[in-house]
Amino acid sequence: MAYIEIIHEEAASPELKDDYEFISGSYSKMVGVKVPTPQVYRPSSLIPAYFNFGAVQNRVLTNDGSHNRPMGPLPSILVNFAVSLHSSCFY
Amino acid sequence: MIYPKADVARAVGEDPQTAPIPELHKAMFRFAELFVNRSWQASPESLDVMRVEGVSDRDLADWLQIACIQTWFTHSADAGGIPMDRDAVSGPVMFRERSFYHAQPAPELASTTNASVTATLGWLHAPCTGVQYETAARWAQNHYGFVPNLFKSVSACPDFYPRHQLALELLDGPQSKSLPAALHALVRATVIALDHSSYFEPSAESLLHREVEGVMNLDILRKDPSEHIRDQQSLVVLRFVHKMVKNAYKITGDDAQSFREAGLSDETYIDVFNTVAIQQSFDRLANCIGVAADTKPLLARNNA
Repeated sequence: MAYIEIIHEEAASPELKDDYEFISGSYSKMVGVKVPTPQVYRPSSLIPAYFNFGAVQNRVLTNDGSHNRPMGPLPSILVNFAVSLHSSCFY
Repeated sequence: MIYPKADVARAVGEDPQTAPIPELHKAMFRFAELFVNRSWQASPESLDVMRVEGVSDRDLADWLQIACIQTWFTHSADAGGIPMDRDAVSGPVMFRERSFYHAQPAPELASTTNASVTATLGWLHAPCTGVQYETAARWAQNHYGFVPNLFKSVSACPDFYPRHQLALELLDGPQSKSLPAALHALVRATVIALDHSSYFEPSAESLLHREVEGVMNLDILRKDPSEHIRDQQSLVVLRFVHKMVKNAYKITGDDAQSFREAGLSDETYIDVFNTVAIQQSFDRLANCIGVAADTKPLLARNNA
């Protein structure tokens, strides 16, 4: 259970709802099936500016949800995983 | 999938250096450990070992900024108490099983810093050209009155400027009414102090001078907060900051509850952990690129 109050998409303001829809759409495109916004974005939902920041980060990582950023000598998601691994991040 | 075989994936989760994966992958995992745990010990040689594997400076700029962003995600998950989630994307994308996640004790933070940062822009090729760079530079000129070395140093891969601009705006001050500006400044400065961020340290000193009454400096902020903080709310917040910077994976619901017991709201908690996450993401990035401090503090002009 999350440590703090979360505003989920059903109760989101229009501003928050737009970001929820973008993030969900971005991940849905990546995995090929409809998925909701991942949990990791939600802790900041009480402050829309930070939730939007999470959405902006997804935009730059995915070229605005297109998932067509040029790939270098190794998959960029491996960088994400390596940072998480060494952060002992359970998520 | 990157490691489609479950035994390889498990080996990577246990120890990437002994797993049957390419040397380039191992080098990247070593660099990630440096980035997360001791970025102030990075040196030009830390990047050279990647260049030897054929990695371009454009790719290095790309990966370092991805790692910078990932800092926010890991902190968001740890501070938010997000449970292991079958819907999480990383597992299905990369591995068949989720058992690779594990917790290792974080190494004690070493106080030694690498003295090899010279008075240069940074350790990456920085072309400082192109539409994306020019747009970011105009924003910075308007916001700070100059273009920070941090922006110039990542210009080999300019895709991330929109994120950095928004992040720096969010760091300008608290985003919740319940977090006082002085305490927000203490949060930022504490992160910078604990990260030994030579790039941000001058800015932190100026920020403290502007926002905090009394004697306060980065050496003091590196110490246990109970040694120098008397206000209960500030004590709770700065203890949390220390924990988040050093061992974010040890955060529990008790930490969020400690905020409430001190009369602080969930909004304050969110404002604090995001400030720590964003500041630390930049500290790690600047440390690992060896960015020289700007000649002026990196403080927004309209906050001066």
